Amino acid sequence: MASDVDADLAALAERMRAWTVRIHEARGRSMGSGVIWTDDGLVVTNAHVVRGARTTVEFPNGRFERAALIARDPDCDLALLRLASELEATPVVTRSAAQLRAGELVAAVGNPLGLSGALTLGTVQRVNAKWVIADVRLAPGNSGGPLVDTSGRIVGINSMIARGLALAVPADRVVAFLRAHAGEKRAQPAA
Amino acid sequence: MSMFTDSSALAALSSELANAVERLAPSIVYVDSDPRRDASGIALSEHAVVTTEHTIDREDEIVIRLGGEATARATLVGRDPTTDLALLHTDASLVPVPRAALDALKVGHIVLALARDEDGEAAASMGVLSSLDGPWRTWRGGDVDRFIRPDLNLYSGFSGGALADAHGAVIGVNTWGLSRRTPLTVPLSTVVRVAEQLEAGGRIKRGYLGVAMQAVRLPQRLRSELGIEQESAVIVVDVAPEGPAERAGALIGDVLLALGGRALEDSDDVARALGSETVGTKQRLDVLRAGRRQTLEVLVGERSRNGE
Repeated sequence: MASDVDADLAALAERMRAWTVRIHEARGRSMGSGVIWTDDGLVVTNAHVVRGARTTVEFPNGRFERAALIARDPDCDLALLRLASELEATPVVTRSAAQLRAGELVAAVGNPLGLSGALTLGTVQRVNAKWVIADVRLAPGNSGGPLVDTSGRIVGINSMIARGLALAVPADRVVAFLRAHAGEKRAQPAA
Repeated sequence: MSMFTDSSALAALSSELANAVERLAPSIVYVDSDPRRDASGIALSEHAVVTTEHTIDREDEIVIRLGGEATARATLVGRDPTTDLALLHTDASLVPVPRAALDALKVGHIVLALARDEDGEAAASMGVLSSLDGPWRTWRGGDVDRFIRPDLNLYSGFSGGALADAHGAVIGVNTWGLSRRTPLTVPLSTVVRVAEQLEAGGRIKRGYLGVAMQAVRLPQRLRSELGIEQESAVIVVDVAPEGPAERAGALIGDVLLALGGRALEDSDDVARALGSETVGTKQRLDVLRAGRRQTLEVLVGERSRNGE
């Protein structure tokens, strides 16, 4: 049983790493993580990770590519980037926060503390109207990365650390955000 | 439809943990007794809740919150600072916690901490059993059947909640009140024993000497001259009139080395040496007075509720 769990965890980590990118601001500083959401080049991250319009995405294989900011909403801390080229990526599968149960295992992948594709494992603590709250260790650099269930379905986008707990934007909210903005070519200038 | 399956061992484990939380949650309550501090409690029987003593502030108008919107009033039956446990009664009908077999516990087992937040939502935190040991005495002199330390995040509001095994059976009550450095778990056997004592008498007896004291370092020369092993002891800075220590002949300035054969290196040791079994018994008090060892015999009194 324990070795099966180990093998499943390793497979989960590998799958999640294929989706998780590092987001760089124009001057090359690494600001956080992002998720390749669709095979036509949409990348989801946190609004607080991308402050400028020019962003570079670093893929797990070390390749860099420019991305355009097409939407940014600080209220729900989400941002949407579009890569110039299409990708051979498997589209993500999401799971509604309403289906999550306290005590369920969840994993986060991101680029905390200069690490690449670091995995942390924990449990759902509770879910409220705004956040999926998880007992998972995050660090700066995890922002914008995925929180997934044991089957690799995205349940949230890691956004904040509060009193040691991980706060993730629920996947439903991300789906609604994409629906509203995926057709846009570029972000509207801030009012 | 997708590459995602729920058949993995990892998914099975995850589902078992969530089932454990679901199974136990009806027996976990939120305890509202202190405006500055959230706490949880566990249902020991249909109308009895055990929580942590250090999270009890108001002794009246305690409210417990069950799942969702349901709340109920609770009355304080008794509190035991020595084991950091308090017993409440409520008219509401609760589901008693399922009890784990404590003998089967091993270091490395997956454990869950359960709590309920002020909105009535159950909350969980996962970790492993980090260390297990035999009986121990707390810094406040309480006897605990087993030392249990879980390695998990015991968040604010989780004190008084349950530590459960992966099946949702309860191992004990979690608390931040027995160590400044780490959360510990008071085993359910101790919880049951203390609850019975509180039910019977409302409190746990503690021994009383009637002295104020502070720790002092013993000079190396004095230690070698008198053959004393301990590096420190406690010096008496005040003696209560007609108290047990005064009746035994203790004076301000006496350095207390041992009580009942237990070395006293600081005031916590004194509390530990004054367990409930010492009340009303004669104990040998090893004293250092004017550079010489002396022995006194003290009839240990009983500490009253307000600590006098």
